[in-house]
Amino acid sequence: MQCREFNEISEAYLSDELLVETNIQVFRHLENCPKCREQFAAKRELRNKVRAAVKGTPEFQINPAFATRLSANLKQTALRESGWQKFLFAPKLLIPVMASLLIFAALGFVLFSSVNKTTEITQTSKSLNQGLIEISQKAAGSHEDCALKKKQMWEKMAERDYAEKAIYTEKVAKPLQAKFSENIEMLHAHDEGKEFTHVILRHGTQIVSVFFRKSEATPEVYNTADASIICEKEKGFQVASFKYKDQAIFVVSEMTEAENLNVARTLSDSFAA
Amino acid sequence: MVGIKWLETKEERWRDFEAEAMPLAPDLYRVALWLARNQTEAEDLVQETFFQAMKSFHRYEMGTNCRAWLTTIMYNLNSKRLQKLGRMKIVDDPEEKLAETIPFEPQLPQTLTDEEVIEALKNVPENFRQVVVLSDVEGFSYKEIAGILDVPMGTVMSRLSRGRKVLRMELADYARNHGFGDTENKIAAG
Repeated sequence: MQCREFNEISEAYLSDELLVETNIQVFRHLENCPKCREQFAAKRELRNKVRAAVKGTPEFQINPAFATRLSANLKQTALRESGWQKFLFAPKLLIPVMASLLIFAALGFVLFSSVNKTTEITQTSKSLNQGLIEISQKAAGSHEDCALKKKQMWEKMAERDYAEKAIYTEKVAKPLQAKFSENIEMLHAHDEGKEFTHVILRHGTQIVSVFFRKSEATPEVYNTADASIICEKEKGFQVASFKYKDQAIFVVSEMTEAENLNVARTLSDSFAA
Repeated sequence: MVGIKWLETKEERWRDFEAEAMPLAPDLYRVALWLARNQTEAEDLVQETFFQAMKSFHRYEMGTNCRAWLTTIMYNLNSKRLQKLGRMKIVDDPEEKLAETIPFEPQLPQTLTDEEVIEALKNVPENFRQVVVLSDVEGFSYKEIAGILDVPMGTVMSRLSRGRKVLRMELADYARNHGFGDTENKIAAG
């Protein structure tokens, strides 16, 4: 191998992308050519310096608190998702699942034809967060009926100033504006029956509702762990909920799950600070 | 239904995902920081990547290269994010020409700190830097990088070669500006 040939493949050699036979030719050339050996050593040294610099600099290390929170949020989402829904939609499982369903349907038909029908209703036990999920459904309904259907009214009222709006501008809108540096505007805040305080925001083109579940109406959500955010889809809306002290807080919108979760995370972090 | 292993419960699926994907969060974050403008954006990108990966995990084959799979998802999400924000960069020929005009390979100054090396890497044009980071820092193969960036392998090879040269130039400029040794001679010797 000549120097010119080695120069043509030296980058690939550095990246360990050559065939074994070519590697052997390179070894032989480097053994006998001090100039190429020196130049290649410099290239390898630079590669090693870059790798060590990036991997060793604190700026490039993941924040452990973020990693823990990410893992907890993913786990909650993963374990809450309906398993049978997921594998029904996995293409490789579609045929076996459909076949199983057909067999069960046939067996059911035979049993139904031959035996007097008896219906047994099984009471399902409530999961720890069942209470929270029920309130999430109410929050999603309120978002639809109140925030979205009366959107134009809230936008007109946004120009007026009133006491409750000022408090929630401070507590809710400002942390979100700081985080997203986008057009986030506080539209309205009002009490909704004895259960919720409903805060309505405009986030770009989206309407976002934040519900504060009043403390005296919240005993059923106390089982939820602190610092964890639960995401779910209710009535077609994304609902992210978390606990802060003795209140349960819900963020409801038509944004994506990740975007809605980001809003909830910002509020959760802001309250915890 | 006994013996049908593909009927995985959500607990089993999470256990697999946790074992295969979650240990790679630090690697993903390191790459994300080169794509984003700051820590918050990088964390958002990593989070979005993991949520997307979890949704598509049934398409991932256990035991294959999970890091390359996650990095590909992250690059795709980043492209969409930049398009949405109107910050998508068109691959510009001037950058390619810039590297073509570098006539020599300057010798590496000996006394560089990590910060100086990273600063020089930040000054390398983005198209080249992406490949240098994926190859030289993260250790991905040409084939994997071609898949992540969705470009031909020949493009990966040429961008890597040029990116390394530009990086050496940046470091040599730095050394010259800070008066390290007789850099004129060093450069000529390179």
